[in-house]
Amino acid sequence: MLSITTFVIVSIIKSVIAILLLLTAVAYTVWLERKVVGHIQNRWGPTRVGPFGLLQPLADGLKFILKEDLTPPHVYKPLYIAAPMIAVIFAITSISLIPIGNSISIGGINTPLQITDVNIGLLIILGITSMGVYGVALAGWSSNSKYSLLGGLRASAQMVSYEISLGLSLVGVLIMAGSFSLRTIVDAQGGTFWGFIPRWNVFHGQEVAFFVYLMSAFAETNRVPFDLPEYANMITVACLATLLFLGGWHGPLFGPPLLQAILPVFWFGLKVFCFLFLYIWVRGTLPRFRYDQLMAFAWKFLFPLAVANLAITGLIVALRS
Amino acid sequence: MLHLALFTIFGAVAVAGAVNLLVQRHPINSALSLIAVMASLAVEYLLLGAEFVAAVQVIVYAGAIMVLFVFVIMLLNAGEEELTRGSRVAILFGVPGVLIGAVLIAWTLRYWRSCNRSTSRSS
Repeated sequence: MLSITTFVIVSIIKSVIAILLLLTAVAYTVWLERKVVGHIQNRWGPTRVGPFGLLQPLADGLKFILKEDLTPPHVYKPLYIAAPMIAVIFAITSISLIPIGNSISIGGINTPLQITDVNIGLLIILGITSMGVYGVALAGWSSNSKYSLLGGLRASAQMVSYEISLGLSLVGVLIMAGSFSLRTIVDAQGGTFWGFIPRWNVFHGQEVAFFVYLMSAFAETNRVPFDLPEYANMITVACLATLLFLGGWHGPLFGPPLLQAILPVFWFGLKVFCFLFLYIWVRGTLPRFRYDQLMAFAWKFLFPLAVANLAITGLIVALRS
Repeated sequence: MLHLALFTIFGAVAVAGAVNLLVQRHPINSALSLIAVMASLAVEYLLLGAEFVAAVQVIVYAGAIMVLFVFVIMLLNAGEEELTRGSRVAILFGVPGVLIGAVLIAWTLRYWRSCNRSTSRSS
């Protein structure tokens, strides 16, 4: 066991690293999205600031800080200011439970590569995500305009509806792993079938669940009216997809010991990147749904599909044991 | 020690939120302080070692039921309430009720403490 001082110091270091990583990732996801959507639409995307426009996020950040902070009259001031904060806080908090690799030991201190390993990690992430709805709803209401009220209500109703199928699609994975801990879920996906197909959940009876998760994740994050939590949520969703369906940090290991220590984190990052790319690709390709079609899709198609997947998975696991 | 401090702080937050819920005149502020009460109760469960109950408390109460409350308040566009001077029923039944409650709590605490003392003596 670690003593309390080392524990606190290690936790602070890990938190700072995680927040820096997340914010950088958010900034460069914005850059990636502009670049990829630009190329899809036969444009260049950002090119002016730095090579390939790589410094564009810095310039954007500077612009945001220097902008005039305008508050319209007749807004309900406390909530008008607090709503974006609520959205950002809950978007960032959930990253603390995401493991990005196995444990490492530096100078005799052995620590897992995540801020905290709670044995109900997935439930807590779901709880935090469900609290994020308030940011959207309160922002819509506190502006004191019927258009933003309707927009906020639509967006939060959409988030609440898709959360149900999102949560249900995860239950199949939980039954397979028998645990809420993200680390255990990833560990259950190690190894291969017949030597070459990895034992990830997406190849292991959870194809339908992955499809439902993908669809719900698109709806859950895509049209949230704030940019920053939108991208932070995107990264959380990509990390969750990687951990639950794509086998987390499992991948081929080779080379010298140092390379073997870095490779799991690299595989994790690569999978998250592929998921984010898919996300942007779909956004650049498909047109928007009409709002009633969106809700009908959630309740009449995804929800029954998720329930059916849950029933079949449960039946198979029960028969096998 | 840390546990006790956190437990006391979040207990105080829960009580303060509950009082604020009654004092606020705007329904949306009341709903938000109810969310604060739920969240600090979840932390109390977490500190007591009931992690699952804590997570479910956040997901079900703070995440689902209170969202519906907030929706309804927004859709009905409920405005600020007028403060009344208090009803006679509240004074007739409320004040004796609070007194009886306080006496019961004090009596239970005393009884519990004497039980503890006797067990510690016998052991």
